[in-house]
Amino acid sequence: MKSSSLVFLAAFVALSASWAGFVLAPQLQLGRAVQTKTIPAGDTYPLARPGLAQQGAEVYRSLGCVYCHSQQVGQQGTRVDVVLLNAGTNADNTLSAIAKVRPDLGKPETFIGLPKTITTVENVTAASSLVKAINDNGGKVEVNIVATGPDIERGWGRRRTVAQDYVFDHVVQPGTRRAGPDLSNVGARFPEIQWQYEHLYAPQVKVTGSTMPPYRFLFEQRRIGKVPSPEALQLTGELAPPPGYEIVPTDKARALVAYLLSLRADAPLFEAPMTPPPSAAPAAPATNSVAAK
Amino acid sequence: MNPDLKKTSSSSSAETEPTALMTPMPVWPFGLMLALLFLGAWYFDLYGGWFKPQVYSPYTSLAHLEQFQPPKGGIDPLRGRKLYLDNCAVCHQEAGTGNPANGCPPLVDSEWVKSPSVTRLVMIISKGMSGPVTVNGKVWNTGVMLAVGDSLPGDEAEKSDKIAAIADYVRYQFGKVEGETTAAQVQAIRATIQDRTANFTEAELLKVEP
Amino acid sequence: MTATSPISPARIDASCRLPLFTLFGGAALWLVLSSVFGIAASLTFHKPTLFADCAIFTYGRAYPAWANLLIYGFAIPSGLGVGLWLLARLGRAEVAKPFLIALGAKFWHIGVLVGVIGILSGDTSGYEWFELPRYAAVILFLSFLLMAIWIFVTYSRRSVTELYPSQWFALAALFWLPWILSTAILLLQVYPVRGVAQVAIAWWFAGNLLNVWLTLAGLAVTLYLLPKLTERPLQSYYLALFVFWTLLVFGAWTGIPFSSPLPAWMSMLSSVATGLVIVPVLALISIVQATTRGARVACGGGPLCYTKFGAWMLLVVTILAALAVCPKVARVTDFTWFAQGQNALRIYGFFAMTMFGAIYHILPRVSGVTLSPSRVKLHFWLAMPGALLLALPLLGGGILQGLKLANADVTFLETVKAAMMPFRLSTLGETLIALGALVFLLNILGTIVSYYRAIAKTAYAEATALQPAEVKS
Repeated sequence: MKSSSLVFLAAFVALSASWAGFVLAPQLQLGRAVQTKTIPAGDTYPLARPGLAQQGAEVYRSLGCVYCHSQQVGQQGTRVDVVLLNAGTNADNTLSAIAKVRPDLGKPETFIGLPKTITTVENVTAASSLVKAINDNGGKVEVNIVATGPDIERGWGRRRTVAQDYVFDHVVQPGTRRAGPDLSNVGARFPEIQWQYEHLYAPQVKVTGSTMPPYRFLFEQRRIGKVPSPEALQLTGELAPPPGYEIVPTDKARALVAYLLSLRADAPLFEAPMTPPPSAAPAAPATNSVAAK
Repeated sequence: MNPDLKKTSSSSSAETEPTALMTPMPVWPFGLMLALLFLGAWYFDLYGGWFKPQVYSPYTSLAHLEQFQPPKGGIDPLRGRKLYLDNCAVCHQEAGTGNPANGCPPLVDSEWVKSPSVTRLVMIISKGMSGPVTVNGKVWNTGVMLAVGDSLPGDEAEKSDKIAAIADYVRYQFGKVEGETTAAQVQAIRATIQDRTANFTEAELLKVEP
Repeated sequence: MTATSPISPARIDASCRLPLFTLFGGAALWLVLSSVFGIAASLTFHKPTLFADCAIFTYGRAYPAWANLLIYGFAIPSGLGVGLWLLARLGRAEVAKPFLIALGAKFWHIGVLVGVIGILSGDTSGYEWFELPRYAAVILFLSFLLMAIWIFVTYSRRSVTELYPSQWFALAALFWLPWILSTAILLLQVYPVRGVAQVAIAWWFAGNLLNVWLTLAGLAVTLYLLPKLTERPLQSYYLALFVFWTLLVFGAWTGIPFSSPLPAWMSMLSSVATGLVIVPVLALISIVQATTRGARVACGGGPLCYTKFGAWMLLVVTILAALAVCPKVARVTDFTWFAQGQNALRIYGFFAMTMFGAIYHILPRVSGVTLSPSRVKLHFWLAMPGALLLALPLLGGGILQGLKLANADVTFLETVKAAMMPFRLSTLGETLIALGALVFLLNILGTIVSYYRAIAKTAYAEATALQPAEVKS
């Protein structure tokens, strides 16, 4: 290349193409996302975090928690379980329908201990003929869509995380490293405030062998007033404060823990389908925020 | 010799800048690039989801993702059941047996449930019911059933959609009546009773076409 | 060659002196500081309670301080300095307004200082590789513009119109940085976009900074120093042109990791691009081989050693990066120390080594002060094993950790423990790098000090020589 304009042209063409692809296109596709509905329940998702939790997100950012904790659950596949709920009016026909997919279950003992998974199929479409055959005979089946993969089996989440989970986050910190566990659903997994405080203060006490550094600078030691603070940490051994003193969380620790407890990303969505386990259906709405009071 | 280590400003004036040989370009880099481009295009076609914002790994396309959506249409065993468990089972019980202790009538084989039209059921779910009611020849002195349908979350369309799912589930599960109620149907029924705030009574409901 | 050029290399070198002293001196200082933070960060994994009462050195602050000092403190100033010298030398033009470039460099260093204080006090922006708070990023951007404008003016004053490949790379680097930096500042900090669009932009920025900018600045050096030091022509022009185009076209799309909360197309497209970057890097290696083959120049721990080692490390890290986006490998290596090992190899193994080589080549020329070869060699024998000892344990530990992470039956704590021994070994690598950085700093400061001492001596000699004359008159 003899002329510098060619050099700049090359750089311009290459960079503007990737700018359009990875800056402009994501903004057009995802940058204007708003609340959506969960599927099939139709609840609004996600809900905005409460104010204290939003302040906590700032503490999370400022302490650089993201360098050890990811906030994104991976998923390697999806499994579809056909669960028999009841035998229905024509048990024999139901059995023969079941026998077509699972010959070993084509006997009356199958109806003991319902509900029970009778087969696992590739996708919902593949389940439909069986579902119809059983339904036609008055039996009742449930189709459970289950996300799979090591992250999910570890209990870090019930499905992969998607863009919708981060709609209200700023700064979005999905993280790229797991020197500590994933925190996408930590609010659902460790919902106790006091546990969180004590874990932040002395991780090794709560989790033996933990490699997490303690965040003692988020707490203060102070003289016990007339009544001991209900938030005071229950510490024993060498960590215990001197008599007459108590260790209580600072505002930063309170905000951080409120944020951690608001982390929950397991609502079923179109782009991340799954069926929540029936026991989880009532009360707590699966939203990326604390359960509504 | 290593020229750097003995350089002084005087000797650097003799330096010549490097030149590039204009030998022809070998073919292999192009070959490699084309081969990798081809592989890459094949890989992207397989897993890339063709720029659809809804497609996330492990799903590979919109069609693939749709195969994992909870079943829709017909009798949705999942959705109606969940809504029933959340909103109705407290009194009517999971098995639809009702609860004699608080005067809550059963749904199983109830003529109200088996009614050929869904209208009465939608009205009851929407506005609740109070006063005595006869079910399967037995009089239940129902206290008050609240206006469960009206208090479902969401706007009118969402409420209607949920009521339809509940009605279908109840009719299928407890009355063995198959049928698909649309949200529009429910919305039409609800439009006729939208200003009503009181619960329905048996007498009023019996005036409605079964 | 244009031997008829009226401007002698010595004059060009002299015009570079002030900006280069400022850029290189600051870069060396930041490199030392960065490795101190690197060691502090990695010590947390030796003893988690070490900084329990010290917010400044908590891992989440020491680590970004390391990363930002390394990139904004060391990498960009040294790349700019080397680029300036190459453009001036190859274009046979004196530097335009050296004073303004040096001033820009001073402002840049102030921006880095402000930024790192911001990070340590908790003002981090939260985007990996771009943690600088907004106020610091704006200072950096403005001072970059000040430097880039006069570097470009220097280039356009060239008396040799024919462009040598190194000039393309340096110019593209000059063009690349303000674009990505302004995008990041505007769309992440000033008018932040919402939701995961932030993530996409932050990764795009980091990919372009680490995978493209560092490579452009590094290859400008490689393509210059190899033929220069081996005293052979570059083989060949067209191959270099191929490297240039393919690196820009494919490299610009790298940066989005396989595991991300982004739609599949982004990760997959980026994976494909990461794989394709192998093409320019293999072509580069063939240039390196063809150019140096048969050359009777021993590298002897001098600039040639640095350059060649850097080029080979670029190949290694490019292959590792391409492997790490293959689905089967990514499921193991994602979320582990593996990525950190790659970064170490890319920044310390490829970029820093290439820059050290260039700076050791350039400094004696612009200052007229001879560097002791043994100290250059000592630095090489600290930095080279340091980079390897930092990167290899992280890569290996990452794989060990990833194999356990992929198996849900293994408790999470065990996955962390699996990488712990290798990680602790990598602290040793970081320490070697820190020692090397110290030698580097001493080498540069030594040069600068001897230069000014020589000036002072001459001035003193002139003054004392003048005095009798004045007395006489």
